Amino acid sequence: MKFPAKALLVSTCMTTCMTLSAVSLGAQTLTIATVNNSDMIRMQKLSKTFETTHPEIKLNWVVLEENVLRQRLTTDIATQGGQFDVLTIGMYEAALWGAKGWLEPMKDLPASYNLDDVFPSVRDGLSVKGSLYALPFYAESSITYYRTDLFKNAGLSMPEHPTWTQIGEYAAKLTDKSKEQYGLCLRGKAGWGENMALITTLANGYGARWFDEKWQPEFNGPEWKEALTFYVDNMKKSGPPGASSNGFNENLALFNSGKCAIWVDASVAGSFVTDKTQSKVADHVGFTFAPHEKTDKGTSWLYSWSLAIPTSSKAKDAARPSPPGRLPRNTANWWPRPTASPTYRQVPASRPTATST
Amino acid sequence: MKAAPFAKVTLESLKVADPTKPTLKPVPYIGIQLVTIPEFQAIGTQVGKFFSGALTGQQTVDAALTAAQTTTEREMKRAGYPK
Repeated sequence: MKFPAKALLVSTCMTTCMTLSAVSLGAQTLTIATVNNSDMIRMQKLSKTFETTHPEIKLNWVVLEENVLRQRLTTDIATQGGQFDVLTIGMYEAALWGAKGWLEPMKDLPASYNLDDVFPSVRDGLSVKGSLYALPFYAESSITYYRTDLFKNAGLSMPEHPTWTQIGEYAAKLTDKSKEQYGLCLRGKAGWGENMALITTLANGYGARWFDEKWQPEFNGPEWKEALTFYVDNMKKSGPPGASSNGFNENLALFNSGKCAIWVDASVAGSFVTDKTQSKVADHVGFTFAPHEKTDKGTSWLYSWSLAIPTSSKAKDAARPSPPGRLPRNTANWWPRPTASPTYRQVPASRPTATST
Repeated sequence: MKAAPFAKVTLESLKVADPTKPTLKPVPYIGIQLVTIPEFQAIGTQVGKFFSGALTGQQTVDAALTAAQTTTEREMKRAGYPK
């Protein structure tokens, strides 16, 4: 890790997949911290290709459960630990860490990387005062997944813009616990990026907010009470057992095994629930907008798993984006291509596939 | 679109998701499903535990909300808000 190599952050594969090329003085290891979701495992699978074309660089992956990843990265960057050379982060970290000068600005991007192809809201979210601090691997919103076969059998139809009240009614009708059939699957696993992402969008739909204009929290208001009551009541009535342990990955597995009638979560799951190699219900999935209630404001989230280079990295010189690269030319490339035919399985939570400590 | 039937809903949702105008009533923060301030990581984690506890029945919805309010008020005061 002490080679003053110049590895370059570029992309040569799908969407904004990152690869690193180097003019190096010797073999160099780049340690990449990422989250254990399917898309990042997909990214990791591309490392062989990269290492073949860049024999001077070895990629060391540290794949972590989301909550663990966030903790590890926060600790590392706040202490300038330098454990990692590439971080997988969201807009939250990009904005705050970029402002603190903890991330390398992403400048001099290769000509093939057309920033105009990136959603303006994502670009803005990853930037501080006009400087970009991370490159998105993908962007996602939240949407509603539902089982078209179960809806049809029950004589129900899903509106394009359902309310939470409607979702609760359908979920109750489609629940048969004796058959392990659950009407409603929602995140319950504690974590600001897990249950709080879902619950906050739900609360937004009820007109709630975290803080008023004077930064006074509003959990004691009627909006939060109505939202949380809906969530708890309906998850008890129509949710799977042990829902408080379910995050994105767990709900995806439940949905794919046919146990959920309705699931509201990241749009990025679209390519997995329709993939016959991993979804038993691939032919019976419907998609519609995330539910609203009193308002549709803030009912679908915006998230982007993105790649950044910490200034504490020993290989940060490296991290100047440069050609050759082939990056998304249009927004259609923003989500994983359905043709990518993933053959992997979900990795168990909290299983680091490599270590760097 | 046939290969990715979820693409249309995703695209439309991404277009309207605006972290700078996330809620019905005005807010001093940026973020739809989160609040972009350094304190949020700790506060969001703690509140997430209270809400998870409400889901398991460990505590009532009211108790979870009261705990969330108290903790958030305390942490924000400690961090020097309103700034």
